[in-house]
Amino acid sequence: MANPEIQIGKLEFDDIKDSIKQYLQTQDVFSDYNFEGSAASTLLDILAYNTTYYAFYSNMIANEMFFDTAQKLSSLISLAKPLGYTVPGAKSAKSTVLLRAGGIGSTIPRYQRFTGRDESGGSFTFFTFQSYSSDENGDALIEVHQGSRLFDKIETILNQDRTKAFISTVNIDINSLVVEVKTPDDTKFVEWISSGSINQNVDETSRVYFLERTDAGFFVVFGGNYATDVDRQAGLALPEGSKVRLSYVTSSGEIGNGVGNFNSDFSSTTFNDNTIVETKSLSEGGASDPNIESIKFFAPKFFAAQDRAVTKQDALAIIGNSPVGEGVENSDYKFTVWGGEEQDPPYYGRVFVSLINSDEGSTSIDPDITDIQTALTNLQERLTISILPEYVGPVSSILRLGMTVTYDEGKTNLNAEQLKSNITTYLNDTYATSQRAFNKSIDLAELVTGISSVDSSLNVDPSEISTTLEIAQKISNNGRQVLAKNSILQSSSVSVSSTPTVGNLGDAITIRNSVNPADFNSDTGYGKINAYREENNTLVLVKENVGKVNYERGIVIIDPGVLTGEFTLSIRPKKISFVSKQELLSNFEFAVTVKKESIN
Amino acid sequence: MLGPKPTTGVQNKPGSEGAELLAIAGLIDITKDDDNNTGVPPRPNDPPGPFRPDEDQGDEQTLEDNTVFSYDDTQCVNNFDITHIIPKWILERDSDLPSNFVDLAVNYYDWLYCKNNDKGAGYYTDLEDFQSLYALDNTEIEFLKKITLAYVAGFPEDKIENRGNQSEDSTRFRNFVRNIRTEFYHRKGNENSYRYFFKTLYGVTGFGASGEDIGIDYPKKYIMRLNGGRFSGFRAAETGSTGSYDEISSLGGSYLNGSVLRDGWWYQDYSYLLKVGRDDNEYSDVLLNILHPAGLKPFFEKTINDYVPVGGSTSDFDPYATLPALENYFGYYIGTTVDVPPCVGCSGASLTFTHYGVGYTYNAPSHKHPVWAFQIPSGITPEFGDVNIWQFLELSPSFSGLTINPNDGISACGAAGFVCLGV
Repeated sequence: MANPEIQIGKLEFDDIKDSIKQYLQTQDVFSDYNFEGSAASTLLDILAYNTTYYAFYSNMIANEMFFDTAQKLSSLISLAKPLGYTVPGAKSAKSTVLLRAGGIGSTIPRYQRFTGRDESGGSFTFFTFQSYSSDENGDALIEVHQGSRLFDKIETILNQDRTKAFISTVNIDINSLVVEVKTPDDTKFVEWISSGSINQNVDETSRVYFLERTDAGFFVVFGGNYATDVDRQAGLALPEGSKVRLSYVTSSGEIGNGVGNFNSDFSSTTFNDNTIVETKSLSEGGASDPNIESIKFFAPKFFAAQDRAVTKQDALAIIGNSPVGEGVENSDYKFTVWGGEEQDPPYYGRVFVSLINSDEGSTSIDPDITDIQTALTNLQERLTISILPEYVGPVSSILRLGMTVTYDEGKTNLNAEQLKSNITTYLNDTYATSQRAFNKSIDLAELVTGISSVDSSLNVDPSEISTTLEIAQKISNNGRQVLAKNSILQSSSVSVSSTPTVGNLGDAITIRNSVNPADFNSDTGYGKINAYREENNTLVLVKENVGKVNYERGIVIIDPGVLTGEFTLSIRPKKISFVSKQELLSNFEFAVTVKKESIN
Repeated sequence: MLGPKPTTGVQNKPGSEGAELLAIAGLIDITKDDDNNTGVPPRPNDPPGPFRPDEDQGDEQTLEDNTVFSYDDTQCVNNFDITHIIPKWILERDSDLPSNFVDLAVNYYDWLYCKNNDKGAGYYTDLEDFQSLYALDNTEIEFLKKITLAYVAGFPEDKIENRGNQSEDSTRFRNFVRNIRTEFYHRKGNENSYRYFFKTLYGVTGFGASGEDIGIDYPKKYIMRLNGGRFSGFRAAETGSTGSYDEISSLGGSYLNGSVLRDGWWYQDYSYLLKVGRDDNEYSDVLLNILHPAGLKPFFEKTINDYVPVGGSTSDFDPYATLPALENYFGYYIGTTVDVPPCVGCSGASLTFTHYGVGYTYNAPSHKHPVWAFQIPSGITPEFGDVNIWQFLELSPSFSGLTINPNDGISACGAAGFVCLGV
């Protein structure tokens, strides 16, 4: 959430004019003046008008000085430099493609061209950003990236006096950039790798380049001495007579999203000409400009991480700075990380990561396999040694909150419908109900205070707020254990909606907990889950012990063979205050009833 | 825009506010500036900027003359005179007329340059005003929070000036931010980063009476590992290492009567203990956000002697409670099928103790085992589910009331009156 902007002095015209007037009235020379008079008032208008401009100007300067209040991309580019963070340019839309029957051990090179079409039939060019090889079946799962134009092996002349190349566009996807150098000692061009300015492992022999963003493009900077430190050198300086060539792809940004139906000419590769190209996902993620909120979110964390994943925040920064996090406004919208010590039961020595895809409109939340691999690889290289990263699939949930709000009609001109509309708008805005996210939380006290602030006539009784958490769970080989990550109200219903297979007793079986206190074992913390049939609005026990529930730890276990298909678990959290921790992805839905206060 | 003459050519040099940014980012070290050995750059006057146009000082003016404007709670006094830039003919005209244009203009600028928000405009009007926003030593807390968001991501905002010592906390935080990259981030995760964290942010260099160092310990040093090791304190002429980590600097050894079983919580390979003598509420959330390595289990304000078993209370456990149990079992090894004879090697012992209905033993270190040994039926497949392992863990109670220990009342072999001759 954005932090409050800086305000230095007054910004409103009327306030400024009043302030000038009050000041002048305290001065002896103007003590007898009538500043409401037409001439004096006009003069004050002019002064206040002039001052308003200055006030805006000075406040904008102050706000643009700080990372969290800057609005201009050019300001953020400057502010990000001391943080060692390179603000990207455009981002190419990306799609996953499966190449089948291409021949075992076949390879396609970097910048292999693919052609795809969007819904309207428009044709788009995509490129691979790396080479790929087929597996033992002759298949290869690859990523292709939209590119309006490929600049391939563009030679540039550099020497010891001029060690920077300039790419005069910000429309390049910096992930596509390849820098090759042929020094007088080399027999062929050698690819140099990108280095962040925070990399401590770079010395005078490192074949690295640094990328620096400006408003007009990117500088590709080669090594040399630190500014005044002749003893230290960051990266191998280009030897005299070196040749440099750059390759990169320019992006069309958002226009490249939604493209599929790819094909390619494999004649220049070792893949068969008859290779089947299967589009696994429509292209997504293309953007013409970097997301300002993403820069604000990740750049400070990236600085604190210093290219290592020690803390949980560091791990977020590392993934955020990889292709997985590009353009993501907040990590919670796409990925989350937690230490094994936070697990129940704990798994020490591990760091867990969970991801979803970026497609809000998709019914599936499963991420691209390449995103998982990228996240884990980046973490593994930067975590404390002996700490292992592990992936945990996301679990989708909805927290439904029902509440009855009363109002004092003597304190408002609005009717119940209008108040309900205002409350709903407030709740949707505050809790971003249009956005599913990890680590989504709600606090009872803040909820009550927030609703009360919508209108002074409103009164919220916390006891009139109820919550139900619905967790969608897939069947897995490990049984059907559902982790609510929040304690469950022990006297409440824990129900499972699915097609049960208990003893082949038919479909009219419901799976739920027994709320009989005698069925709760306080030693183990577990209560029973039974199978029931509903007869005349009464639950009749069909089979006992088809699962168990730990109310305090929020664990529900359904025995193998009890259910078929996917199922949804419904529980009542023990507390209204709720956090969708770890792999639990959540969204909130509010049902608000507004009624007049009853007069006793 | 009228204003005090801007200071030029000082940005990003050591001692300037621009240098603060670079120092935080670790790009320069302001503490190494020869003219500024304190590491604290000079702050601009507030309000800054010398400008006395009627005085012929030009660029040679000194900062000491730099008071353009001063104010207190009640008034603003502007030393900046704009009359010199008003055309002379207007000045002369107004001297003959009651129009007061000049007074109006002068008073307007008095108001504009007054930084007292209640009395004047409250705006920043020159470069140094803006630079002072980034002056770590004296920028207002509002702007310090903005700096924090960029350079100390994850630091709880409410802890910037409230960590248990409000008179010092703000200053300590400013010192922490300065050179944070090289002094803190580059060390993050090692012991020195913890020392720096507590020293810089909390003024803590040690705990307890000694106060030499903050307490950092690792329970894994005390875990029993099944690879040998020795007892200590039970032989008159003991030689060699006990196998403790402190002696051999390796976790490969085992200190047989000083080590304990792992519990997957405190005693495991990924836990650490911190003791700094402060309320952990003052630092735990800060530390977890910016320093604690993910995947490890921290215990705040604990030493190894503060162990509390899962679900227990402080008095439940003596970390050395397993000592006699291990002592009495050292004669066995995996695969032993016969009972080892009682300890006949201890002189001074008497044959008085019942050995659970199967004979007598000496009241000296022997080879008793807990009651559960007899819960395993003989001649049939042993039902180990009947064994109460907990009895094994509490073989040597430190407190009265626990009677399941078969070793109660047995004198140690090394106790007065006994001489252990070996088994």
